Amino acid sequence: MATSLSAKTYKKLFGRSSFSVQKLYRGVDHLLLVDGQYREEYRRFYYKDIAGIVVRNTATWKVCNWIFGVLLFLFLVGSLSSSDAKPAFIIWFVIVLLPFLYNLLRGQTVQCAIKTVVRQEVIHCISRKSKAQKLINQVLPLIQEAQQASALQEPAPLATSPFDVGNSPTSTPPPFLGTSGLKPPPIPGQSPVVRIPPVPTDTTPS
Amino acid sequence: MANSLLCLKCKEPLSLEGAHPYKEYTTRCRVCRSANTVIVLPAMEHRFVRSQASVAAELEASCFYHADRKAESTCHACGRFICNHCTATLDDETLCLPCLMAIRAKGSHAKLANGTVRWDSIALGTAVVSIFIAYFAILTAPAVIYLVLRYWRKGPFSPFENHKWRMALALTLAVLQLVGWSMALNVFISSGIFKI
Repeated sequence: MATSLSAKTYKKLFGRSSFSVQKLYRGVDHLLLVDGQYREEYRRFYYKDIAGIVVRNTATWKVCNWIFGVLLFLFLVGSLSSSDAKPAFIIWFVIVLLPFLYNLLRGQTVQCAIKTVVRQEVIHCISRKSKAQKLINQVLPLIQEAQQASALQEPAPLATSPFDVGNSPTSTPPPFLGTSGLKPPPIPGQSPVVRIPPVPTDTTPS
Repeated sequence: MANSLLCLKCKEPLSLEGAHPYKEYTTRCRVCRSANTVIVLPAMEHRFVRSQASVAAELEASCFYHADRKAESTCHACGRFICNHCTATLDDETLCLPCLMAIRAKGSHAKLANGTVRWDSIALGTAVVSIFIAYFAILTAPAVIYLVLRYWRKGPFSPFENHKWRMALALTLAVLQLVGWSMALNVFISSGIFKI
């Protein structure tokens, strides 16, 4: 096992999008979500822990198409009706046509989330339906393989200890599940509790 | 809540009746009526189970952190006896939680690395901003040069991005800004605005 993160062990799935600096990488046994511009944060989604994928179509694509479409129509009408300002209208038509085509060709905008046993995380770098489909096509076989292997190995519940690294969606261990009436472990640096066995009392008759 | 998919619009649990594992299934949210396409996977059925820690009998080895619980294993790093509640596994090694946290704080293990400060981006960002606020360049350019020289080799830097061209660009901009400042000062002094 590598002792430090290496780009060689990951394959880039998606880079940053228009409004997100997130990047998603595919690892051997997990997906790695890299987030942040000046401080990268890593979140791992182990294939055996992914419980579901949710995709929802958003209205952004249609709204942008409408806005650009109306503007294009206005500039087209302007260029046809006016002879003096015709070059200006044509220039504006071309300027608006480029983002219109860009948005149109990239396809439907979506929101995508990955669900694990403990949380549902929205993946902002997956903003188009084609990207979501690519994620599903690439990752679903790996998830299937991992979860079938996991089911064969462990018919019992997945986590026998809440602190098993790799069973949580992030590198952060889950909180301590203390039993009521029992104290949580002391803070490191403090003196631990030393258990002293009770002193046996002499009950034998003299 | 834990074992249901949430609507991406209103965050309410979705109805998954009729969904089959690994198959795409479109369901409408009962609250906001928006359509969500879901893929349900077998891990949805998994439950976290609280580990069982036995109570230590008299004269039996007890957990270092819980005096009343039986020690079930030994930490590979510090050698302390630990109960099941204090046990973490990392690459098939048994560790106690403070040792796990120590390894994580050190950032030396790939599975526990959770972030990196990108000094290359900070240096480049500072150098670029200083172009537009040129008055501050006299302060920021030396800072950028310091950052580049300090973190060029040792890092930390992102394992996923090529940091060297960013560092080189930031260094170039900072040097140019210093040259510009020195030329401007030279002009000011020679024209008599500043007198030394």
